[in-house]
Parts: sequence; C-alpha cells; structure tokens
Amino acid sequence: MGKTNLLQGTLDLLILKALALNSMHGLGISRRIEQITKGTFAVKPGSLFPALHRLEQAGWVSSSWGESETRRKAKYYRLTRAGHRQLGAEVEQWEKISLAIAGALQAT
Amino acid sequence: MSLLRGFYAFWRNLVRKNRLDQDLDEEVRSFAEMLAEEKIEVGASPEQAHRDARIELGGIQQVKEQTRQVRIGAWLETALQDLRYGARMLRKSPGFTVATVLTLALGIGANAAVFSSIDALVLRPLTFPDPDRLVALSETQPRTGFEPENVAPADFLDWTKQSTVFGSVAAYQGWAADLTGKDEPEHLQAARVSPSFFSTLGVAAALGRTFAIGEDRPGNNQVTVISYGLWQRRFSGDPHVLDTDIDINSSRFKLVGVMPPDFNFPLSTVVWTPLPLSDDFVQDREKQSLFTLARLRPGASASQAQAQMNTIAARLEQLHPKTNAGRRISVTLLRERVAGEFTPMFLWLGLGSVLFVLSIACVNVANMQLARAAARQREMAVRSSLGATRRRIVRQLLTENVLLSVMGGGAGIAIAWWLLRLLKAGMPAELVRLIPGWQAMAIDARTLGFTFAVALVTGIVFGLAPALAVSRPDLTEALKKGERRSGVFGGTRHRLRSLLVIFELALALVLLVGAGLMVKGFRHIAENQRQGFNPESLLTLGVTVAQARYPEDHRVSAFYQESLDSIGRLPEVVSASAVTYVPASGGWSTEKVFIEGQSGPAPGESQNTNFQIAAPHYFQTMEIPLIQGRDFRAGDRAESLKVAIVSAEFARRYFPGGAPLGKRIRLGSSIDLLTIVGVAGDVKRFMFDRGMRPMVYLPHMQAPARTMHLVVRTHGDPQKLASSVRARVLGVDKEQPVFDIKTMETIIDEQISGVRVGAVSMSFYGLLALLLAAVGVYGVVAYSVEQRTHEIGIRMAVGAKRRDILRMVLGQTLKLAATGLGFGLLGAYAMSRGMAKAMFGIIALDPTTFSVFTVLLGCVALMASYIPAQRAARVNPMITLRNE
Repeated sequence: MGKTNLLQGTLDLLILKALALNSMHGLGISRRIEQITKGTFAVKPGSLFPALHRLEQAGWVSSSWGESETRRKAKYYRLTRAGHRQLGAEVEQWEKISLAIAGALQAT
Repeated sequence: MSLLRGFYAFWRNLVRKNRLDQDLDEEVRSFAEMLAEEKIEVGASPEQAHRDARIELGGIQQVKEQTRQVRIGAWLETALQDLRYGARMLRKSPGFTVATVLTLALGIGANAAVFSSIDALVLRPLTFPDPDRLVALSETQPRTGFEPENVAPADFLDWTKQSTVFGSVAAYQGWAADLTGKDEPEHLQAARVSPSFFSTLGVAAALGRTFAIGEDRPGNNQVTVISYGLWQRRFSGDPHVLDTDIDINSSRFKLVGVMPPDFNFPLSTVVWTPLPLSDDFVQDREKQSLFTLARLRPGASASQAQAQMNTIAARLEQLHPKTNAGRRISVTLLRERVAGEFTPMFLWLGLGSVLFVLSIACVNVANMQLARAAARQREMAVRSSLGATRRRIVRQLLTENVLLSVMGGGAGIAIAWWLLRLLKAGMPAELVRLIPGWQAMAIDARTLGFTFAVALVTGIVFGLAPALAVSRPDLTEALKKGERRSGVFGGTRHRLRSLLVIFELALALVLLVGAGLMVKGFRHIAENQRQGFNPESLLTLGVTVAQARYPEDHRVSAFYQESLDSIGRLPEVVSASAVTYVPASGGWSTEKVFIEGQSGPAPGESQNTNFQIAAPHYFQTMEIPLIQGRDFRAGDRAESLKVAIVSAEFARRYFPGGAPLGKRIRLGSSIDLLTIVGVAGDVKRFMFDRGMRPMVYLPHMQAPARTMHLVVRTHGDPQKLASSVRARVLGVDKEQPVFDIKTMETIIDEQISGVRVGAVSMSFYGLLALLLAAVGVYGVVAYSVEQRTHEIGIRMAVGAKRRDILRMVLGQTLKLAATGLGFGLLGAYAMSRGMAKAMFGIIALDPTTFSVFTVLLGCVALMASYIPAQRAARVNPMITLRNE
C-alpha cells in the first residue's frame, strides 16, 4: 500500500465522495477512502482532520456527536445539500481535467 | 466559500474558541481510541494497541495544532499568541525592555518631529485646493548676474493672453497699508492683486465677495478685502462693517469682503486691493514689479507649461528687443517658491541626521538583542524540538521586536511632541507669520502614520538579523560547543556585533562633524553680517508717509528731516538718520545706471545697481567707513547740486582706476546727472548674500522716499528708547504710524534664526549619537570580556599582569574605534563638501572640527570600554579556571 501524497483538492473530493451515501465518523471516512481507492490512498489523521474541518467551515459537511458501533462517543460527518452540489461540480471538474491530461499524454 | 460564510466561520472561531478546542480534543482522542479498538480486534494487546494507535495518529497535540491552523482567522490567533508570548518575554527582562524602548523612542521621536516639520513646511505649506497645480512664473535674465524674479506688467498680460496651458493666471504686488480711522493708526501688510487672483488660488470670501470684473479700472478700484484676523481684531467681527468705507493711506476704500480664517497669502497679507490697470501700467514692459502665479489646466504638466512659456518668451524677445532681450520665463511649483531656498535644505539635512540617529539606535538595540539571544538559546532549542518551524520562531521573534519598536514609537510620539514645542518656542512670533505652514506643524494623522511605519520598519530591520541568527537549526550544536572563542572579532556573532559598532561609530562621527560645521558656520554668518557697519546700540523703525496726506514730495522729506531733528535732540541719542532699507535686513531696490563718459551696456544686457535713499549723517550713524569724500549733510537740498554716494564695489566695478569723485552718473529714466561726492564701505543686503553688489545712495531731500527706516544710534540700550523715539515722530505728525521698532541686533538675530535652529538641532542629534555610540561600544566590549573570562584566566595564570590585560582590552577597542572613525572621516568629508556647496559660510575641510570630534569620539569609546576593561583585569584566574 503506497502512501501517495494527496493534493488538498483531491482529498476534499474523496471525502465528499465517501460521505455521498451515508454519514460516518472520522475513522470510518479514512477506511472508506482506502476501500474506494482500492488501497491506493491511506489518509493520515494529520491530513484528514484539517480537511474535515475545512470542509465544515465551507459548509459542505456538517457534524454532530453520536455513538459508534462500539458504543463509543464519536463525531459523525454528513454531506449537506451544498456539499452534494459541490461534489457534483468537483466530479465534473475532475473528469474534464483527466480527459485533457489523458489526451495530452497520448499526443505524439 | 462565500464571504458571508467566511465571516461567520471567523466569528465563530474567535468567540467559541474554547468550546471548539475542547470539541477538537475529544474528537481526536475518540479517533485514537477507535483506532486502538481496531487493533485489539485483530489481536493486539490493549497497551500495544493504544501505543500503536498514538504513533499512527502522529501525536495528539500535533494533529490538533494542524487542524487549528486550518481555521479561518488562524493567523490572527497565532499573531495574538506571538504577541502575548513576546510581551511575557519582555516583562521578564525589564532592564533590557526599558533600555531598548527608551533608545528607540529617542530615535523614532526625533524622526517624527523632523517629518512633521518637513510635512508642514516643505511638502504642504500651501492650504489651497490642489496646491500642486499652482505654479509661480518668473522672469530671469541670466546674463546680468542679477536674478529679478518679478514680472513686468505688459509681459504678464501677454502671458495671460497667449498661454493655453494654464486655467488662469494672476499677479500681485506687495505694498504697505496704513489703516487709520477711529482706532490707532496701524501699519499693515497689503497686496494689490489682479482680478483672477482669488479664483486662481481657489479661495472664496468667507463674508461678502472678492473683486468683481471692472474693479481694476481706475476710478472703480477703491475697494478692499480684508483678512479674517483683521476683521475680528479691528472690527470686532461685526458683519455690518461690509460695504462701509475704511481709510487706507488716507484714501477711502469700500470694504466688500472678508477672507476665511488662516488665509494670508501672500506672506501675512491682511489687506487686499485690486491691481489698478491704468494705461501706463499695462504698457510698462520695463519695471518688473509683479509676482505672477498660475493654475495649470487639468491634464497639463509643469514641464509642458515650461515649454510653452519658453516659446512665448522667445516671441516676446523678437517683438520687443529693447526690453525683452535675453528674458526667459521660469515655471516652478508655487509651494517650492513659497518654502524658500533654505528651509527645505535645512529640513532634509535634519531628516538625514535623525535617520542617522535612528540607525545608531537600531544598531544598539540589535546588539542588545544579539546578546540576549545567546541567553535564550535553550529556549529556542526546546521550541525547535517541540516542532516549531524556523519560520514560526523567526516570526515570533520579529513580533517581539516589532512590539518593542511600537512601544518605542509610542514613547517617541511624546518625545516628538516635546521637541516640536521646543522648536515652536524658539522661533520669534514675528518670523512665524513669514513662514508658511509653521502653524500647521503638529502631531497630526500623517505624522502618526509615519511614526508607526517607521516603528514597524525599525522593528523588522533591527530584529531580523538577531532573529535569523538565533533561530538557526544548528543552534543545539552551538549550545554544546559553547561560545569559547577568543578575541573580540572571534565568532560570527561577535564579528556581526563588532561590525555594527564600527558602523555606528562612523555614523556618529559624520553627525558630530556635521553639527560642528553647522555651529561654526552659524557663528561665521552671524559675524559676517556685522561686516561693514556697527550693529550695536542701534534702534530701527519704519515709517510710511501716505500719498493722501503728503501729496508733494518735498513735504515728505520735510517730515523726515523734522522727525530726525527731533529725535536727535534726545539726550541718549548719539546720532540719527534714515535709509530706505536697513543693511542686513533683506530689502533693496534695483535700477539701471549710466556712467557719464562711459559707453552703456551692450544691447540685450543691462547695467544695474542697487540703490538706497539716505538722510544726512547716515554713514556716520551706521559707522560705515567713508573711504573717499563725504557723508550726506543738511546742505544737500532739493535746489543744490544733485549728488550721490557710491559703494566701494560700485567704484571698483565702474571706476577701476580709482577716481570716482566728481564723476557723474544717471539712474533709471531720470534725466538728472548726479555728482559722486563720496565712496562708502560695502555692506551686505541680507544674511546669505554672497559677495558685494554695487550700491548708490541718494540724499533724501533730493530724492524723497515715502517709506524709510529711521536708524538711531544710542548711548545705552537702544530698546529703552523705543517709546521716546516713537513719541518724537508722533510729535511731528500725530497720525503717522510707525512699525517694526526693533534694535539692529534683533534684526540680525531674526535673520539667522533659521540657521540657529538648524545648528542647535544638529548639535542635539550629534550629542545623542555620541551617547548612543558610547553605549554601543560599552555593550560590545563588556560582552566580549564576559565571553573571554576563561581565556583571561589562562593568560593571568601564565603570568600576564593586570596592566597587560587592560592593555589588551583597550587595544581591541582602539582597533574597533580606529576602523569606525576611519570610515566616519570619509563619510564626514563627503558630507562637508556637500554642505559647503549648498550653504554659505561653511568651510568644507575645517581641520579643527574634524580632528576635535575624531579625538572626542575616540576618547569616549575608550572611556566606555574602561569599565569592562577593569572588570577583565580583576578576573581571578582561580575562579574562572575552576569553572572549566
């Protein structure tokens, strides 16, 4: 499992995607990102927490205290409506970029 | 993220800080716990699981810190944190803090005071709207060596008609108004102004109106506008005084307006009347009597204006070769003309000096910081190991330094305020009204802003070097090895401190030499004015005889003669006479001169001389030596032979053979031939007059002048006689006001006040620099001695005596001082050349000044190092070596 350096924007996108279906606590988000990227990205807590708080400040996620599966107090994050819109926008953006780069790489 | 959201987040982070931190703490801990749980799940032991979780997390504090930094407004929090920390550190070393703040306060305060002066006197002396669009136009005649600045009326009118680059052009002429009427007669400064004068300046009347079209035609022009101050003072601010008549020079003028408060342009004018545009006047292309100014059209620049005026000048030269040959027009900013030639120079010199002082202060503070930094190395090492980045440490140190300098700036404002008060008190009230902008000199918003900026820059400048030096990553290594280096120049930090001290010694020397030269120059100028006559025990007063009450010229001279005779009968009076302009007071008239039997000047050149009208016994009263011939006497009446007395310079120029007596000359457009009956010694016209000008004196009974200054030589203190002399004049004519009753010494004193202020200020700065430099040297030497106690102990143990140690330390100091003074001498030499060129009376390479201050500074440096040297010599080798 390689620890690749994630760009800040990419991490945001992954977090939003991870929360797209249901709300999760911090550790859960980290594990989910590992899962959906098939192990390519393992997010360090040192990057995850700042990112989560930044997204919350921007109003794309909101948080509340709840109970984990093991009956431990944990902070749960979920996507807001604005967050859903942002996710859509960032996905579109990403697809545009990757198409462009793919095309550039294929050019002779 | 929208701006609104941003603000909300910022606000929330600020206000709910504690709650958020608590929340964050819980969140991170819960994360760590859950991570541990995961590990326990796959079989690890609880302790192992918790430890691994912590490691994987990377440290709870670190994660929390990183998250906090993401918060909007985090920079504010860190800045506040830095400030709090810095304040705490400063509180811990109160001695250092007080010393630094005081040093900085002196440096910054002096700068603030000088800036305030420059701002008020040089940068913004004019209070009209858009003052930088106002220009002064003057005529120059480069070839004659005389530079009259005024403009002939016909030229002024042509310029107005032919120029397109100006929105409006105006002119004025100063004159003296005697206000008579129900109160005591008052002699006031007045001006005759062209119709567009007030509109060009952009000032309207506060009450009533200014002049209307057509009020410059003879017959229509007996109207006047007065100043606010005069209106309040003499007319009690009564609005009903508008449209009534007032008596000026015994003529009736209708008062039509009052100007707003603080409008006194030009130069303390309180009465304005229209410039009478009679036919003679508008055609006069010879007599250059008008001061001209103009407002640039929007979009036009001064250089465009200059170019256009050059064309116009050339055109006029072609059309009127007799009068305008060689005449050029010069366009300068009005505020530059108004500030004068010398004030800006003195002020920029002052600014240079205080910047030097500030630099020296900064050097001292930087050195103190470096010394203190050595003591704080452990603190830095600990912070480094806790994860603080170098940038963060440097930022915090800079914050501390800026805090110091802002405090210094605050204290500096108080010092600046006090300095300005001192400055204002030192200027005689009479002169104050002649210096535009003086009243505005104060600690205002701009000064505060400037001070704050200087404080900030200062803090960063002197704080950066120590901050960078201290926060180096390898400081832990330096800590281990210890600073046991030998020699004052050992070690990079020592080298830096020594370099700084050399720099400040050099600056101090430059300043001291500058101050010394100025003081010497000041004294030289003060002596210089006394050349040519004896200014002691001389009382002067001015009188203007009004046209209306003395219409015939011979009655004017009769009045003066009678007054002088009456004054002469006072027992304390040695001798009394009169002259148009008193020597050294800065007034003179110029006229063309023709010598009988000599060919006149070439076309395009003019032959001019200064001239004065004088009463009998003038030269005797003034104690001006008569080199040949005689003084004026009572026998020089209107009907006797027309005579003149010339100055030695005149004789030198026009009679190089040396026999002017008996020759005849003609002045201006007069047809009378005047016989030269005497040659008098030269006198200076004003303080900074370089070289002598030719002067012709005419007897007042043959050429009556309406305005003259009476000069009275007394036995005792001339000031005591002021009221008696005045009473004698009033005894001849009880309605005749006199003005400017001053002793000659006062006149000279006033003339040189400006230079005196300059000399005193520079001496003050020089002294300051000396003190600061001494403190700086002391600091460096004391510190190096401290560092070298170990080495000194060894030396003493192998046989060095106290004397040898003393010599060693003092020797090192001497090396430091020699280098600093060497550079300082170079700088001082360069500066003195500049000063000598710019100011009259200053000798560039004055050996006394240079050597005195070099030796002084050297001695001070040695004295400053004496105490540390003694301390070094008293080192007990047993104690120091034991600490090995």
